[in-house]
Amino acid sequence: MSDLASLTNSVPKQQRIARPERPERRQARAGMVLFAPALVLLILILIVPVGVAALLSFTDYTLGRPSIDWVGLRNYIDIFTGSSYRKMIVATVLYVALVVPASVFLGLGAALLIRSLNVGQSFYKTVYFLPVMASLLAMAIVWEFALHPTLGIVNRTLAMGCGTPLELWSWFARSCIDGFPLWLGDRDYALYTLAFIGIWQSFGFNMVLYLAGLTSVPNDLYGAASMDGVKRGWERFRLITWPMLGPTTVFVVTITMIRSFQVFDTVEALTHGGPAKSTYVMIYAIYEKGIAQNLVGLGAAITILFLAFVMLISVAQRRFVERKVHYQ
Amino acid sequence: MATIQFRDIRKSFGDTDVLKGVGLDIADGEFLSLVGPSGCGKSTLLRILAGLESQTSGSVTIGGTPVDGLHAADRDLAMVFQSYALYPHLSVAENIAVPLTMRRLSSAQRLPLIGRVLPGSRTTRAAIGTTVREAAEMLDIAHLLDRKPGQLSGGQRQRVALGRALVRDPSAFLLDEPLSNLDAKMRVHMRAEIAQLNRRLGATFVYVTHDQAEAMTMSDRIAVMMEGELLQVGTPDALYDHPQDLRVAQFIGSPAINILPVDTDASGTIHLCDMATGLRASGPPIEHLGVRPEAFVPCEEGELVVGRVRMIENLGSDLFVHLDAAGVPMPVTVRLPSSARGRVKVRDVMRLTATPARICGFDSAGKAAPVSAHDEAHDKAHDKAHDKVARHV
Repeated sequence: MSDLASLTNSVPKQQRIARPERPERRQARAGMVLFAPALVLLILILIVPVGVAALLSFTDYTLGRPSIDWVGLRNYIDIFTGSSYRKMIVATVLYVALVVPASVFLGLGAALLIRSLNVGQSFYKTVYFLPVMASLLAMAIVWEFALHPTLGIVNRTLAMGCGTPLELWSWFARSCIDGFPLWLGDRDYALYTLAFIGIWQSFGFNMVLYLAGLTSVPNDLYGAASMDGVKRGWERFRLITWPMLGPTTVFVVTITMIRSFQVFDTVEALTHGGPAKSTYVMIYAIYEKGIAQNLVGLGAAITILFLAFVMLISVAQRRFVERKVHYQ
Repeated sequence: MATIQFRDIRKSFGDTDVLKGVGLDIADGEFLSLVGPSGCGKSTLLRILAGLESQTSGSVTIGGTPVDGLHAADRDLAMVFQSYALYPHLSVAENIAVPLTMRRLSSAQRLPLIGRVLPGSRTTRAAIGTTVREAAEMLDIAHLLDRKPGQLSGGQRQRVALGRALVRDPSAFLLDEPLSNLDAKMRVHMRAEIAQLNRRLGATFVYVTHDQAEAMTMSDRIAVMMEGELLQVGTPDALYDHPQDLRVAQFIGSPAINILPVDTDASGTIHLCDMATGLRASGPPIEHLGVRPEAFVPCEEGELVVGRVRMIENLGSDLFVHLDAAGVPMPVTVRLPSSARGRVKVRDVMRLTATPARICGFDSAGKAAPVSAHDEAHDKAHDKAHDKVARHV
């Protein structure tokens, strides 16, 4: 009797269990609903503008003109054939090539030195981090004064060296006669001067990243290295510190590269891309063409080129390097 | 190989004294465990021996030579760390080879690329490779030589760390809680393996652990440390049967020793809860009695402790019975043979006694003090045994 009852009961029960949706599906749908606003915003704010810029780069659009013509690859051909654009690429790449290694290694060096201190760690951290916190535009004015060809403290200090053994250095001796460089006003020096300011500004940031990276190196490893016969600091650095900082270094290099590609404020404040387009970096070119001269199509083409550069760096980081430095 | 001596080692961090004058002699080839609760200074003592930290005062001698101020690399010791401290970017083979490359190759020969073509580099590297392979085979990790530490299990990493330690054939091995990151089964397995390694290599082993079971099973001698002091150094048997200090008695043994708070009157008779126990303090007044769970025997009369059964733990091989006994704050634990299964029930009243020889007495300072049977004629055998204990203690 009871067997029969359970039999007849069990059939509709099973059907009732089968009918409702599986919880995974329900969860997946809820997930879709929840992340939809983020997706919409992502498309509207990030993807669409890039798409529009990409489309504009194939046109001769300028703001306010009613007609718009499809010009195909002409903007890109202009970039790769025009001499000012070649200068743009040279200036940008040179700037990045100068700033990245210098600020990365200075940052690492400063971090290692600060870590080795017993007292005054926070003092040095603050001092080196100050340029990062200060507005670069405001600091640019200070640099402009300091580098002024005749009144600036830099050239005045250098002039004090004339008549001393420093003149054994031929460049110095020549400068004492012909006058010291104009720095920002000399096309042979302007980019290097900007790079110097860029390094000064960014190595404090790299130092902070390296300090954070150093705290994650297990102390036991240094103990193990001592037991294994490592006595000198340099060996210890090669065996442990440098490999263990691998992930930090990849991150620091990528971030510094992207930030150096984006250099704009010092150029705008100090040189306006000159003299003789020697500091005509990409973002400044975008600003000049796309906004100042209202050549939106050309500006968009440079923007797309710029994005491609940055994308290339990020992909290279993810694909080739990151896999090698994460050991776990 | 090497003997090791600590002479009055003190170590302070600011106002905190971590080590308060530790003196210890370790014989050549001995397996000595430093055991104690965390924060007792045992790891600090080991790191001082290793040369990773320096003592505030006192001296360390290895093989008869003082090593104070000598760099860790020059002490001819090897160490296994609790975290294993393997170099994560190097393969297993490279990890094991580090102690050899650092010592056998010149710094120029160690340079990447150039180092490989320098004269002598190739033959030395080949010799190192052979030694590494031998060490790996000894530890049964030869098939893992190309892997990175991140791809290994805890037990395998442990073996790599051991391999890196023994590849150089050091005079002494220092092991800092090497098994504490392993699961229970692996721990028991590695325990046997490390003890075997000690016998096979004949080198001195100094083993730091907070696990008394590890110390008991592996060591020739155990040094129990608490609050920066050495309480007792002795064989596992001596520590278990004749603890010199109440804290040692409580630390060694699992389940823990039963501590009975007692009073001693002017005549030396020991009272538990105002009842004469039939025991007498033959030295200083006794404040605590220690009885191991297996030393208790159920009896009909003349009991030392009486209590009601609160809980029974059946381990199959043994039966642990926990009693609430009058006058004892903690439950009293008794180990009974498996034959007692089913004969004891919760809420039963049990009477327990123990032979005086297996009862440890502790005075008001917590130091061991002799205990004897009150009625000397009552049990001559007990008395004899007690005399032996008293002499020993």
